[in-house]
Amino acid sequence: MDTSYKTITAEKRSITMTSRERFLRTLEFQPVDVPWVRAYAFVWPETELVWRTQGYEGPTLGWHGEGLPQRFDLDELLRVDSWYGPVPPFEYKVIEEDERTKLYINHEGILMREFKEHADTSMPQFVKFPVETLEDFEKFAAERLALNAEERFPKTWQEQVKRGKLRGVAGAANLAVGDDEKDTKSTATSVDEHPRLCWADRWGGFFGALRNMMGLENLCLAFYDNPTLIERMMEERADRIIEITEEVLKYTEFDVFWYWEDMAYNHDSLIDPRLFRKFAFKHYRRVNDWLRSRGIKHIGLDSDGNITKLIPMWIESGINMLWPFEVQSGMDVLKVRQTYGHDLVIMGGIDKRALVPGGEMMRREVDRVMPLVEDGGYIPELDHSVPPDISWPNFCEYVEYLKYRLGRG
Amino acid sequence: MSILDSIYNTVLEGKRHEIEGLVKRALEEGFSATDIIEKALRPAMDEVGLRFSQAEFFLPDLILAAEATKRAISYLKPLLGERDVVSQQETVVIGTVQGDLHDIGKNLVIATLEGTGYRVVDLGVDVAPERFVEAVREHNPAVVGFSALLSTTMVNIPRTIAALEEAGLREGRLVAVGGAPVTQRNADEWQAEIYAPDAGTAARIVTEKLAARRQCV
Repeated sequence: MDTSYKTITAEKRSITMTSRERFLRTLEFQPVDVPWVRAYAFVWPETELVWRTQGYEGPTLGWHGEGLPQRFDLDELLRVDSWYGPVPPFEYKVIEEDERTKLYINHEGILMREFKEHADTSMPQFVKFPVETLEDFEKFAAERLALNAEERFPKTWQEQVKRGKLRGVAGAANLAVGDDEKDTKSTATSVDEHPRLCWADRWGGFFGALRNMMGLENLCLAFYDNPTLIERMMEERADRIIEITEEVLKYTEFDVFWYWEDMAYNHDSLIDPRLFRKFAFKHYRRVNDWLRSRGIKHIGLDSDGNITKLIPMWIESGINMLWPFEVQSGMDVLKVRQTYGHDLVIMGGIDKRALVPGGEMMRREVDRVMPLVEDGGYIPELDHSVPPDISWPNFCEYVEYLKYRLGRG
Repeated sequence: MSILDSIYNTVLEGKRHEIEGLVKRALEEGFSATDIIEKALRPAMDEVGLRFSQAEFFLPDLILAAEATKRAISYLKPLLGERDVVSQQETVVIGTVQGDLHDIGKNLVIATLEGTGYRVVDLGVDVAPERFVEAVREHNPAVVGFSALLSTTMVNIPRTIAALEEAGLREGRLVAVGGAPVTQRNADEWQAEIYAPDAGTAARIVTEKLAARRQCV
């Protein structure tokens, strides 16, 4: 590994704050002992397979890169959410299969075709979705989306939250596993050391969740053809997000609530932001006002793609953090900061593609975002999942360089 | 406003339930099916594609406009004579290459192509090179389109083009490529004549390239 850069900058700084203090001060644009940074990464299963041929010998990383924070001695954001989606989950059922693919109903009720090998790295074909009409939705909501606290908050979840041991595996994974398997990966020593996140993954939002039920094309058309259905679905989501989050708060405090939308592609929003605003704004506002009334100051949202035109509405509704700012979709965190100043905390925005060649190109990319670290309200990390063409040595080199530039190694 | 202008605007506004009524009225007013397609529907779809590429229109606008045009063309097709230019519209064979199950982008391209009057043979997803070869042999298309969503699967585009070459079916037709990871540079490298950066522009570029080829012949 090339470490000649170590002659040029950053000296190592002392640690004087807990990870949680550091995190909250970062979100509030206040000075910190060292910048808060996590080694968390969405690691494709295929990436892990490749990494194991390149020197990685640790425990199974999983989709959320469990084990990376400990390996690199960095910060962690513990997840305390439960599953905001269908409960009970749909029974996994294979409808037909051939040598290479299988057609099945997944836990969300979607009929989909998927490759048998490397299913996680290839996008499935969505064949049919559970909701087409208002009647379908009312039935779906009554049967699957009610609070159903007993199933949504099983004893295992309660125990893990109590012990501060939930990592990047809460929500669906926790519900699906339903045992202590994930618990064994934990090494957390103190509940208060780490900041906590409640991420309403895949079902906490007003576009992504609806798409899970209807499919993209049908959802797009329904905004024009069936506004009553859209309005009803959004209203239900807002009610349920509040109800489920209220239940989470009975067991634990948390520092950040996180929506999931994924509602943009590489050029633009999937839907006209003006149309979306007309339907969704009041629901975001209602949930955000409720969260603030419960003391949750930091509200984030996950959407891939080019979200430029959606950001103003999200900020106006009360959202103040966004992730992941995909560079290849045209997102530039420096420009976003220039536009929105300290109204928005930025997470992500480091171009993962720079890690493919690594070396100087990677270092230039990390250097590019350093002014934001100085400015505060910024958490430097990759702009989404780690594909298999990023080698394990290059990933390590990136983390080590990032730590060095942040005065943490 | 003339009836053709009304049809044009109705496509732009995506009012697919109103299109048939307007087409009937245009026919009653003496416009031919070809006039309606060439002077109203196709320009409207071109405009929709342009606005989509310029980020003025969004996905639902594209879907609704394509659906409106498709309905109008289905209504008009039985009225077209065999020697009519529109009846002679070329065939496009299209599919997502082997190893890739993604079809949203491909389906949008098909909608805009059909909306513009092309006959489209959709081979679906995860299409092996030999299936492309069979389909090209059977349908003799003017254009063969390949779609891929992932950088890991787009390598199957040049492989499939090579299979067409080996079968002696590449010459005399245009190859079109597209999908999230595919760039103009890839298209040049694979010697594909058509590259569409997004679904909105695909039909317009196909039309332009085919027109240019006709002029060369």
